[in-house]
Amino acid sequence: MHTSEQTMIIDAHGHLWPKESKNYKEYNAQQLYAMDRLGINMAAISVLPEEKRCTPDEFISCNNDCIRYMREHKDRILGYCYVNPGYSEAALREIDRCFDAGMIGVKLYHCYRFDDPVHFPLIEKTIGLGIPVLMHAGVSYNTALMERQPNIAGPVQFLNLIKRYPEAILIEGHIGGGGDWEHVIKGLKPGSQIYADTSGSVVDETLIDRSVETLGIDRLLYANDCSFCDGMGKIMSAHLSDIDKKKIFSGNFIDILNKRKGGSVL
Amino acid sequence: MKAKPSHKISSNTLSNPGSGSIRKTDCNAYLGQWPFRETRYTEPASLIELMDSMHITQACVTPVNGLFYKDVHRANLQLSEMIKEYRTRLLPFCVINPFYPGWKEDLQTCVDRLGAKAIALYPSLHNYSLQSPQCGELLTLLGSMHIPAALSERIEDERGEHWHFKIPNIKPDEIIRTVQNFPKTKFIIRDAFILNYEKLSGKNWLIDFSRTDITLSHANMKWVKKSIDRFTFGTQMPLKTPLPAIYKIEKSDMDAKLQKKIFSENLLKFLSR
Repeated sequence: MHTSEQTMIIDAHGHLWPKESKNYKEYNAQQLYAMDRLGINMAAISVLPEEKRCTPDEFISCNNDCIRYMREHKDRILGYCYVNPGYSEAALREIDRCFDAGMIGVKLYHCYRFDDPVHFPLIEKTIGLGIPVLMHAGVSYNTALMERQPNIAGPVQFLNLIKRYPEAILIEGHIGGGGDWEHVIKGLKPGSQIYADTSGSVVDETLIDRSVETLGIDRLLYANDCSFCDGMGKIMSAHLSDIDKKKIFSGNFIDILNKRKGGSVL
Repeated sequence: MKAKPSHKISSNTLSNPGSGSIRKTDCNAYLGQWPFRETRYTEPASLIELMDSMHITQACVTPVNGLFYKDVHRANLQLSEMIKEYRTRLLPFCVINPFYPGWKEDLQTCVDRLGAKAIALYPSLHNYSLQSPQCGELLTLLGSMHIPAALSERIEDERGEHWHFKIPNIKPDEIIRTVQNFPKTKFIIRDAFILNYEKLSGKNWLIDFSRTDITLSHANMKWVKKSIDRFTFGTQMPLKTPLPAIYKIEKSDMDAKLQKKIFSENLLKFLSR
């Protein structure tokens, strides 16, 4: 596959660092540098607080940084709004504010189980706005890891949620983020409306080909989650046609962005 | 789409896997079926097809069975037989367990008859300590034979481990202590975070670059360039797809001269007796 004028590459799961964090300028510059080196046109990023179960003031501050980065790098950075669903009213107000500022989706962490009713108002909000929810997810049999992330979302929670809200646009974060990715793709298979992003440092040789075989080409989104060469290399070396690679690199994500109420931000 | 963004992105970044212009020698390849998931390219001919598609000139191959057999030497013999027609492309890394009967004789066979370029040790998997006297005896012997010891800090990502079969990592500090305690023995440290080894001095070690993304800070990249003779190229193919490890070198800001050292020169120099 060769770069052409028409090949758009969008990283569907990225991050930049909040301005209050140490060395944020260098970290953020490294992300943009890696995008340049690998030919990544745009990245949809979120700015996360150190403590994910944070207060509204803290998530608002992170989102303010995200909006600034979107404006500073208008043709490179798309934004996800980060909220703690535990503060329901504040979270809903924040999603509206971020949407008005041009954000393209909502990023959630495993503060609660994904199918917990605390998420319902947020999911309803995103359905109304026509934007996706990108959820941190994974399945692991490593006890210590799971004890640190007891609420981490797996396919079961995604399926429960999509059953309740079939119009929702859900993205299972980083199938290559560590864990049993075979479990994840097989578990997600029945949820035909659920997308999976390919990010993470896991580059098992069959990961992408098996994901395409199991989920179909239309449900996969290219992403890095800060593992740039891993993210790019596994797609580039997959046994896929250029047309299919283009779908993963941006086509499927552009389809999602086009569902945004009022039109795509692209 | 309303508008096409304009960027200063690399013009040829998606040109096909890896550049063929620089020789690449992989220090961390395997032959055989991984027991916990489907693996492709498990035979020499197909592995070489994969190498060709990625412009990888040579690969140091360790037998997967050498990790899981109790008598690991049987896997060395199998490996030797498997690669006999591919010796110019596949370089054998045999496996020795210094707690198993007959290991000295096996080692001699590996070096004299099987042409082992290095000896891979899997202490966490074979249930011994790098600090044990038996392991010390093996490492001393390898030093006297000018054969490198290959250590893997990590064999499998613990996040993806099997329910019942867990392969603990070797702690970087333990590797560092071992490298320091055996200055006459050469070590190839595989699948490791290079930044954990910044304090390691001496010239008796190489570390593979496969877990180092191009987002390395300026300060860390400065250290990499200053210590360029200590880095090598490893992919863990065919368990992993090799292209990410290639990109981590090729897409970095290292010039061709430095890339050549990592991709091949350092390792070939290290393997020469």
